[in-house]
Amino acid sequence: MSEPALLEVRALDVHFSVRGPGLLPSRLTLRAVDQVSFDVRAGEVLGVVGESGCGKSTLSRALLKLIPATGGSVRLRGVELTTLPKAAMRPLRRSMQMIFQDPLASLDPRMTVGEIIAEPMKALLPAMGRVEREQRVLRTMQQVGLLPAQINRYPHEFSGGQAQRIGIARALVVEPQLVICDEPVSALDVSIKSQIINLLLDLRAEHGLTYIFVAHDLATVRHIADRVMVLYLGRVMEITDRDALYARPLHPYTRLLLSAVPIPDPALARRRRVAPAREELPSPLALPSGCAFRTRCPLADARCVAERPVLREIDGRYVACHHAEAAAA
Amino acid sequence: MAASLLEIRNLAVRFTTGDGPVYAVNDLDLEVRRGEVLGMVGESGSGKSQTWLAIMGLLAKNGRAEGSVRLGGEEILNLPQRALTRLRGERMAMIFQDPMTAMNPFLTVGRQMTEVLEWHRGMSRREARARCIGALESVHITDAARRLSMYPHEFSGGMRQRVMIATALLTEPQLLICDEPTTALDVTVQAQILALLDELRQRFGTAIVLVTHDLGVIAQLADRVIVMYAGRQVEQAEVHTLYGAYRHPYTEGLLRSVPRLDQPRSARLATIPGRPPDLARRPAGCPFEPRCAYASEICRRQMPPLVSLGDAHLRACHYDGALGPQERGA
Amino acid sequence: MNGDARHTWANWVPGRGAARKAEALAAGAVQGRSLWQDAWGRLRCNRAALASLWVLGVITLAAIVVPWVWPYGYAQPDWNLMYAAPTWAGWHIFGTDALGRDLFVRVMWGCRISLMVGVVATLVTLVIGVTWGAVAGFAGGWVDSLMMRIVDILYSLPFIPFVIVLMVLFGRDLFLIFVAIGAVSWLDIARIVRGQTLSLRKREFVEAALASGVGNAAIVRRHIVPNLIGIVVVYVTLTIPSVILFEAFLSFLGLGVQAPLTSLGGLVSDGAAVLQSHPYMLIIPASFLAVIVYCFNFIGDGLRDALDPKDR
Ligand SMILES: Nc1ncnc2c1ncn2[C@@H]1O[C@H](COP(=O)(O)OP(=O)(O)OP(=O)(O)O)[C@@H](O)[C@H]1O
Ligand SMILES: Nc1ncnc2c1ncn2[C@@H]1O[C@H](COP(=O)(O)OP(=O)(O)OP(=O)(O)O)[C@@H](O)[C@H]1O
Ligand code: SF4
Ligand code: SF4
Ligand SMILES: [Mg+2]
Ligand SMILES: [Mg+2]
Repeated sequence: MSEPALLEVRALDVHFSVRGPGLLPSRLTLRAVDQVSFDVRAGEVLGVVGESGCGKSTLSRALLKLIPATGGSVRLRGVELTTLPKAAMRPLRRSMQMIFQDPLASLDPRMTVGEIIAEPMKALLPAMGRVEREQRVLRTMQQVGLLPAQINRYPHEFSGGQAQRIGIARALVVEPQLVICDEPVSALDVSIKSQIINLLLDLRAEHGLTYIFVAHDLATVRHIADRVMVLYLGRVMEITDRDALYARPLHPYTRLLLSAVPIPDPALARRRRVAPAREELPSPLALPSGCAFRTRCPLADARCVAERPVLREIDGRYVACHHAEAAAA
Repeated sequence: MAASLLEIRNLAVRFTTGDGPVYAVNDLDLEVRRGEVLGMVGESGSGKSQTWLAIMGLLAKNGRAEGSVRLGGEEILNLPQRALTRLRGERMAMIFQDPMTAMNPFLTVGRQMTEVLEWHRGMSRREARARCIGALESVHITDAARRLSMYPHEFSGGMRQRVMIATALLTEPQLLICDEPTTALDVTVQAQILALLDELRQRFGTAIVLVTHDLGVIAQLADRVIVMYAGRQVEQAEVHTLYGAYRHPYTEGLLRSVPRLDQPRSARLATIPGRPPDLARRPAGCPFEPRCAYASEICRRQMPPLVSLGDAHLRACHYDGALGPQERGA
Repeated sequence: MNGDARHTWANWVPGRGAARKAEALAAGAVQGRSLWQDAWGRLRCNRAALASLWVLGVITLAAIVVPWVWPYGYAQPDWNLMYAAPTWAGWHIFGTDALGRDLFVRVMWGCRISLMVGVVATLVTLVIGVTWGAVAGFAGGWVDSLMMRIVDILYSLPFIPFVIVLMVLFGRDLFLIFVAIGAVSWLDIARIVRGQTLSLRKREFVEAALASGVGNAAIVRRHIVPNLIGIVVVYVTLTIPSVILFEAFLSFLGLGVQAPLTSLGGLVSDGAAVLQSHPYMLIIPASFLAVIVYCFNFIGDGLRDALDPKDR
């Protein structure tokens, strides 16, 4: 592990100022991403999971500077991004691209497939000629399983799975190193989901890509990720290698998530019958003191109320819980 | 074997569109028995929702339903509007994927719930309120009395779905149709809602139809399962049979392409190649043929009929040999 | 020349072009097309819009050419020939008016003036309105608030007195009429465009473009404006006729173009006064007005459909 990380994120904060309730609203701070630190190594797939609203999309967008970070640092191969001016950021975008959740909404309805895929090249490789650009579009289309004849079609003429292939082609056409996938398969059909996951895995093998793969579905993440980061209300709960996480989750929240994943096997599903989570997600505007998870945690005690657990290392895994050792036992 | 509550015969739903007809549901035959949970799975656009919307009389204007649907022996398909309204209030209820769209954002939850009872049961406001509090408590909403005066947007997604379920149960329907009740929810909340549905079924004996594309959800709750493809029923079986000894290639494809936590991780996911069918076209043969690994000449020419394999197991497929993974299993 | 015998009328088949295009596609000779090329192809298939384009083209051409070549001028009276019904004699094919002026040349002048007022005022409207609205919507924040407050203030100014004051101060100048009409009608389009831009800016495809490194100017040009076009085009085709009608209304009030020059609106109002005795004085200019207004509507519909890839 001597090789430096491709992306280093340290104590990243993204806070939104939102209107409070009432007639004379005060401004409240919504901590969508709160003190998040992690590394992404070159060539790996980092899965990011958590419930809806826990800041997965906000984190993805902040890494790409689509939303300004309110604090902390993001370094891409040692270059600090958070303070980088817009013009200097542009060339770096070639190495970081994004795939979006809603395949159709992320494609301009008035552009043809060819124009959509060519757009990042126009922006990032202005020196490239028209002919070369077009050839590269066609090549990329073939790589993601689109037919060259479809180059003049409009997005609405495609099914969700094909539209997502267009989105993938657009991300890959500038040959990035890091691709941030924000729930790329959540909106897709069961039978199409697996096609896209396999495609992402193939492309990674072919081009040596690094992914940050965001999902709310732990079963999918297990399939694609090498390491998994679990977020809860904007905070990191656990970062662990895939096999260790699924074999023996240390954090009580990870265990809650895992136990809630439905299993497509009636005998097992009925035998399992877990007690569902106690409470619902607290409002992100009024986070609990101490550990954010304590309102739903079966192990919570006085220390969890008083003291916010820091992310610490246990057997090569990172966990933010006071009682992780007890949980593991 | 329990008596059948709802009998569907030859149900067909079609839509007239600018580009010609869309055959959303074709030749559907099935029944729902008293007190059971009937699961219905299939990809997006396979006609799951339209089946039940047709039965509830809630099809879009350009849609038409044909065939016969009997509830407790009484024909209910295409009833006049008045009779349908009564039926919907008293004997069948339906809940949807997005509870927000089914609620009026400008009325308190209490008002929306008591209205149902005042209208269908002729209760006084007072009585109705008491009943509503009871109903909210039965779906585990704490502090029910206070919640009645809150507006839908003040509830979380999971709570809204509970409120919908409570509202649906107010008139003690015999049949509760849940169209993707947990698709918009987090897994943790989904687990709560599924546990709730299971509990309600046991307590009140309500028959539940569970429509979803998630095989995990079905496995958790359903007694019998119907697999839909291209507006047709391709397989129907008791839940353990369906997951353990399915006999349709599409069911196999679905089951194998789901990433799952209970099995060792495989390097690649199995997929169903190709893409979902276009319902505007009606192939002469099996609609799954372009994507099917077991397809033969006859599949292209002739629509496979739904035939019984015994033991309440039905399927529509010409292929008689063994399906892939079953050779390896028990 | 003779070598290429395939392209004769004898073996011409309808739809051949499309077939050849499909062939080219199938042969792998794929070439990227843009929205504009596609839109033009689709517009050409819209009969009503195409016919309207032709009609409007002919009227415009006539309005430009006829006043040059016609034996009469628009202000040339013939005291012996007042209120003559349409006749071939002396080429008064549309008849003459109260002062014996040739109505045909006056109608052509009227078309010229009305089209000019309509098109120029609408262009002014468009340029100011779209820029204002798009900038406000895309910039957001206090810039947006400030710009929209200005619009609100202008909205509250009473318009007719404003025009009268302008006329009184600067005289009845054609140019001024354009400016006056344009300066007022851009408010609507600015609001519409701003609303659209605001919602477009939050759309995921704009975010996707930002993530691809596309700059602000290019985003406005490539994503915002093309997605505004549907609504703007509809608005324009509604504005041109309404500006023409508005000018007619001003003429009716005596605030339009200075006599003896005239516009379609002025002719219609002249004709309306003598409808009982000389109906042709109303019917002819009114028909031209109606045809022009309809043409713009058809072209607008056609353009909107052509620019919407979802519409087949
Ligand atoms: N522009 C914004 N202004 C204010 N609050 C925001 C903004 N964007 C996101 N939030 C809030 O930040 C939190 C995290 O949102 P985010 O979209 O990142 O969640 P997510 O994990 O991606 O959820 P999902 O699974 O639903 O996509 C939410 O509480 C959300 O309401
Ligand atoms: N109003 C309509 N006009 C035309 N076609 C329609 C209409 N409503 C539905 N359809 C078509 O009917 C088919 C079946 O739709 P249905 O809503 O039953 O699918 P579903 O199985 O519920 O899918 P999902 O999982 O996406 O909810 C679809 O192909 C759909 O396009
Ligand atoms: S710190 Fe306490 S409340 Fe938080 S997860 Fe650990 S045991 Fe539970
Ligand atoms: S009938 Fe033929 S094509 Fe259809 S599912 Fe069976 S084997 Fe496949
Ligand atoms: Mg998200
Ligand atoms: Mg549905």
